[in-house]
Amino acid sequence: MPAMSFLENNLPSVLSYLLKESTEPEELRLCLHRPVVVKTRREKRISPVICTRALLEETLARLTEYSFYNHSDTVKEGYLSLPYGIRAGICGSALFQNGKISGIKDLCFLSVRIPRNIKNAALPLFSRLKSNGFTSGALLYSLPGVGKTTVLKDLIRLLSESGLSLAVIDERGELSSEASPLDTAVYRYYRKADAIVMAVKTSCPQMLILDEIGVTEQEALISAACCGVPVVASAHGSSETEILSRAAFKPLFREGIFSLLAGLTRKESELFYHFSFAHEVKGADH
Amino acid sequence: MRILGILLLSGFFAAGGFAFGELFRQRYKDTKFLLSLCIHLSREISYSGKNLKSCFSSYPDSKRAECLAFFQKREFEHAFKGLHIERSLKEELLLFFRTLGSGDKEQEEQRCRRMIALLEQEESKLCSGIKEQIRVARTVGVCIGGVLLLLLL
Repeated sequence: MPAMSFLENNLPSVLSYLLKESTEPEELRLCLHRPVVVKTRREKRISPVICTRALLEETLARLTEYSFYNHSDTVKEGYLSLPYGIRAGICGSALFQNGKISGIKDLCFLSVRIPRNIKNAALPLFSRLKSNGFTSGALLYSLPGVGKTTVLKDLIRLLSESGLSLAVIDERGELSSEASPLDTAVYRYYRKADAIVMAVKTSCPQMLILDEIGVTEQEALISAACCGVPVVASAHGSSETEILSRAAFKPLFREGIFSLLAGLTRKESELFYHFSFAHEVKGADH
Repeated sequence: MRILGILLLSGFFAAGGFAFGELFRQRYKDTKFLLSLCIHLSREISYSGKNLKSCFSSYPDSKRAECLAFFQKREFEHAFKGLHIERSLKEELLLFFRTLGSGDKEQEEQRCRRMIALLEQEESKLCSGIKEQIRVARTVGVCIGGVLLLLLL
């Protein structure tokens, strides 16, 4: 697994050892002056290693391959995009310039999320999309850390193998960590809203895929739908009613961009889907 | 036998003078190399988006490959072992390279600019005096050799 070997080579030896001895690690959490936590698929393990400032700084330097300057833009937004779809959340004290965050100092927290590739994790969702002839969009929702990105990555593979032309909007470099799938335009590190417009105008996709949508993508998604491009996206959410009643998503459901809702839950390492159609959900004001 | 020994000794001192002169030339060349490396790094950091290791590896000078390999591995002490530069400048450079890459783009550009200015200053200082220094070293070597020859013969 290239992500694991990257981490083993680019983490301080003590953290690398912690990862090696954990089975199926998912996340490494470093909080200043606290024990390092390793989250695996089954448990959350508190290690005997205490996170010092030196360890945090060394981890950051090694993860960025001593090239922090390449990450200064994303650090302002609280994360680092690393090779092979690895993402690190980063926080400290914000530095401001002209009312905008210009950087961070006094680093105090770092979480390294290790991507997974689960073959056929997206098969149920793929089958639903296929039964509609790939003409309707879907919104995949779950609580953070359940596996939305893993499912989307597998969905990209399945859709691409079935011969569809895709446009993947990958703002954080998490969806397209492996070699590009066949006939897929990958907009890596673009801002989502800009990339949606570009993709629809220039790469003629049969389906648009993106991770973690929010308010800023609303207009662009509506314009994509107007061009007849179905969208599959993901969002944080605990239930379909919560998703449907969220103000930011209401216009999207009103426009019929996401007719299918796919809720994702996980028990240990197994993924479970709950499908529903947006127009059929009761108790939602949309 | 004695004459041969004296000739060899004198020759040794004269050659030493020439070798010492060459050291000045080498110091100038190495300073120029470091200056050009810093300019290259500054450009790569500003425009290419490459990581530091790739910035070092893309430096287009095959003659310095061995030294650049140490830079890539962040073994700066080793990299400087083969370079002839002034001790105070070496310390500055070591500090510069050890901390390079830890700041954001603006900070790195600023740091590179400062280092480039320092190296340019050193280069021009060396450039203005290099011919004279080489000539002095050679002359002193030859003179010592000659004096020894006269005294011992």
